[in-house]
Amino acid sequence: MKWKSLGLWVNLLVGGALALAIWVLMAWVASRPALRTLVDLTPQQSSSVDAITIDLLKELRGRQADLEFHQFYPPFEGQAADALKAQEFRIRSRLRELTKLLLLSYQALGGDQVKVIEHDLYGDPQKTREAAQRFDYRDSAGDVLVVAVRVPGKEPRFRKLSLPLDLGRIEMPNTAAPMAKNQLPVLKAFVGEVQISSAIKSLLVEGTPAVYVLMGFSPQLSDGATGGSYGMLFGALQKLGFDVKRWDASKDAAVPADAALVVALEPVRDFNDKVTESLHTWVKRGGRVFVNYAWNELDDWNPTGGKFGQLLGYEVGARPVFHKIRDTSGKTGGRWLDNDPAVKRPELGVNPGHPITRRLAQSRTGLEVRHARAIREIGSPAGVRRDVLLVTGDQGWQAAFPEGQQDYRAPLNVKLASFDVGMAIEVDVDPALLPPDTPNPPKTGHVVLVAGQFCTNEGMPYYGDLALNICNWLTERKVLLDLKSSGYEAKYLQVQPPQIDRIGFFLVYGVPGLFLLLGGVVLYLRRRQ
Amino acid sequence: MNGAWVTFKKELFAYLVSPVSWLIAVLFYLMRGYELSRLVAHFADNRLDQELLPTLSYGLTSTFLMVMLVPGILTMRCFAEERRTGSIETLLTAPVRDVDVVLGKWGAAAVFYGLLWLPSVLVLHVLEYGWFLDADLAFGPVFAAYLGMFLLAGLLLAFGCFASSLTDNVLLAALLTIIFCFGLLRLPNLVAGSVDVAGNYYLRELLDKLDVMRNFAEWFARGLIDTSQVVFYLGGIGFFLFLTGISLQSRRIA
Amino acid sequence: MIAVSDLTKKYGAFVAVDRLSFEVTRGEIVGFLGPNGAGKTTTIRVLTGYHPSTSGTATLAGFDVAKDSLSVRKNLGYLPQEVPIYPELRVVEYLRYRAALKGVPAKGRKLAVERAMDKAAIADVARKLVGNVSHGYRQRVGLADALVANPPILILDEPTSGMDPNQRLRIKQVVKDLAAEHTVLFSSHILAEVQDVSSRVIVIHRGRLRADGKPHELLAQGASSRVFVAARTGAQALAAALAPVPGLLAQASDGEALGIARAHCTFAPGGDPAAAVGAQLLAAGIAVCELRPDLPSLESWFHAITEGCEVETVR
Repeated sequence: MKWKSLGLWVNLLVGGALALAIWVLMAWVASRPALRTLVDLTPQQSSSVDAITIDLLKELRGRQADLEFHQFYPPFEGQAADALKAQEFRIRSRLRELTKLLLLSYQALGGDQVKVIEHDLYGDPQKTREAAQRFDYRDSAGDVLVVAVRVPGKEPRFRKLSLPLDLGRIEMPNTAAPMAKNQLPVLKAFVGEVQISSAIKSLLVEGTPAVYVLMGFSPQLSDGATGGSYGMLFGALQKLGFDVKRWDASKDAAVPADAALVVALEPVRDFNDKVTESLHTWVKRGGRVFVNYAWNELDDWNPTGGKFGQLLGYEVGARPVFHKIRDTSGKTGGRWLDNDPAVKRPELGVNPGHPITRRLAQSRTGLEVRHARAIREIGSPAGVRRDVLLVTGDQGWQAAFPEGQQDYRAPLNVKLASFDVGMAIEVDVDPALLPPDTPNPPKTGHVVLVAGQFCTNEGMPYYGDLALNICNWLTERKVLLDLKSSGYEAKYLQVQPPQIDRIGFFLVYGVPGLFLLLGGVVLYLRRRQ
Repeated sequence: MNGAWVTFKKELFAYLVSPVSWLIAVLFYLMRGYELSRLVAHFADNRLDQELLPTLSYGLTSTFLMVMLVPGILTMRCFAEERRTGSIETLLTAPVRDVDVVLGKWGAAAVFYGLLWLPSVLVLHVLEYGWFLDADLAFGPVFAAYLGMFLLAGLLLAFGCFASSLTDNVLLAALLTIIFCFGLLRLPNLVAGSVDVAGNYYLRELLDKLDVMRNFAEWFARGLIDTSQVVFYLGGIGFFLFLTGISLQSRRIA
Repeated sequence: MIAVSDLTKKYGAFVAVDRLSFEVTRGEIVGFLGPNGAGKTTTIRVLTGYHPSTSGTATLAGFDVAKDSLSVRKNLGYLPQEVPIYPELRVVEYLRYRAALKGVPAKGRKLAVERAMDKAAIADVARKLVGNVSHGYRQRVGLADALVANPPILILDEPTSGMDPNQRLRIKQVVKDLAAEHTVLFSSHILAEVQDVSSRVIVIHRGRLRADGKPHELLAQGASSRVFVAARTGAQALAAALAPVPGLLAQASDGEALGIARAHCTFAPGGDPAAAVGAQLLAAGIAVCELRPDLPSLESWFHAITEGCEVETVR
């Protein structure tokens, strides 16, 4: 009869194994992205994502694309010495929390193609260094989320998003206000989904956007390693996933068909009629152009915009803009100084409302340009909206060099003023110019002007972000920016010491005491016959 | 099902009148109360986002102890004690199916565990009043965490029932369950630390599912309910209850 | 109501029950006898569906134990040797729980519990915790549990163990009363318990059926009659006086103390040896201090009927 009992044991073992298999199968089937659902009970639904994001992740699966989220969270340095620093830490940790929470949704929806990696320099230094190198990340960049997409058969591409600057909306106290000292910056909102989904979309949908550098108007332009060259800019663009190409307009005046963005760097002549015509038409069809003027010592190398400027309603001054410098030594009591070569590099104020310069404004990084010139609005062409991006302080002037001599003194006979040196121009698309069967026709074309050198090899380490921002923004698809995000808003407790005392009493004595009492009563009743 | 319901009622009643249960409740809420009052003070001092308070209240040490120690204590007597005293014989010769007995006993343990946690929700609600915090707390995470805790405990208690059915030594049963809880809480971290998990989807997915404490802290306690996790827990509960049934059956072979 | 045929139960190589067959009909009270380790409890556990048999079949109330265990259990009241202890419940709570578990409808449950407590004479401890009542009471709580659903078949495993004589008497009476509506199989290793109550006795040893029949018949059948006598005389004189008693097979002197001699006598079956001895001693003019039939202990009697040899003179 031994066999009988052995048979029973085998039966039970098989039963157990089968049950285990069923369990594993159930769990596996349930984690298929198609069947997996998230129920979001988080405060303010901060983890819920819009239908557009869900579609996006579906598309990702369809295209077998791998999506990686790399989170770089450098450790907080030291103790928070003052309230401001402490608040900064709190905002940062809250942003990290919200980001992680949101990424859980992406991970849940994306299935096995989505990886969420949090790099920890102390936990795994080797991998963290490799990843930092791959994404060109430095600790000074702070909390950064890298969105990396790898579509089969294409180069992997990524986009860096800064938590405080891109994903969060932090309200800075108005430093001019009288009570500014006691005010702390506050995390007002979290717009992670808009940013992350936009980044994915742009990485996924556009393929490799081609940036065309307009040749033929900037004979001095070089991509070498010297200070005035643009090699670093091109390298950074390529790293960001742009295809940097040249457009030799002297050979073919038509804008290349695959262009996502045309960049003209330090043109020394106005665009000729053909190029003007083709560029303007392209913009009217939704094209994007970035023109970076700079003042040149050769008088006739300072184009003013010409026909292109007239069509879009701007004109660039021919003379360099200088600006008095603030005396930081304190000896003169905060006066503005001139007659110093430093006046050549005006410090600029940035428009905090425009997406290109918003993060620059928030990070409060100073921006200096060389060889600035003034951009002026002229006329009012139909369907064109102009927006100032960069502006000097109000102690500026347009310098004149009567005898070929550089003169750093402010002219006495001219009133000092502020000059615009950066401008974003939005142009309504003319539907008539579009091919009739264009899907999702763009609504606007964009031109960004900066009149001053800032993204040469010299300037890139400091102001490269602005140049990359401009290119990113100009090539970004706008469809996603209006997706409905939860828009998390922070709430804060206001608790007085007596309340804390009451809470402590209630929690430490009240609740356990209640249980003690109840338990005692129950046990007494049970003991009674 | 009558058998399951009757067993459930009897077992739940036994839990409610057991001094051990009340001792657990008092100690748990004493520790939790201390930790929670410290947490509230911390929030007030540092102006932390109040929406985090309910979530963080589930990350306290008392939660950890409750998950690690209490399931073993609750279920150790389920079958081991009955085997030791011989009452299992009356139980299994009564006209009830084994599955009813298992379901009833597990159900009572799970519901009792749920009851142990219920006051923690009420406490948070009481804190909302003006006399205390005077704030609207977010209860989404609380409910999700409650569900998550119930599922997690259900799994652990199902294992506890199984462990208890294996032996007639009550302490051994408790120890087995506690080791299981501890293993489930620690193992995924250990494996993830020693093996390259990122590259292996299945291993990663498995570890993700098994990393119950992280799932609890990062999903349920934040207010996120992932249906695949719910299915995982339900499947695990079914699995261990099935094993318990098998284990009861095997007495027929002995 | 109970039919067992060729029932065998092995634990590994050890045969606990060996091709056991017997039947119990409706309304019978059957004593299930055997020394410790004879296989009584094992047989009972097979019958209650707690253990499966290795081979052979058993049916209770027409249901096969192995195939339809649940139906068997519905018709069965079982008092195990180890009486259940849920120390945290009150007696009445325990019985109510058991009644519910056995499917006694909620409406009649209170009444059923009261009736069972009444029968088992435990009404006085109803509100005590099960953990706090004495062993004898606990045994009776188990009995009340077996009775509570009023099942047609009762199987009681050593119902009187651990009870004081009064309680025993009471339980025996209860079991007798049960005969009216129940079929009862109860096990014991004490012959006296069985004799008084049961209409029939089944004896097993080493898992095998050794005897099956009415108690006095069984005793008369296999065993010789024995008489113990104590008389105020010398040992020699007593032996001489006893010698002529008809049917005497053997006598063993128990020695002499304080002028009283004691002896065990064994007689051939049949007749009334005690009366014969009394008459003989009276005739011999010897004062009889004590004279009683010396019933064999189960052990010796059992030994006799199993091993097939005569009853030895056992002290």
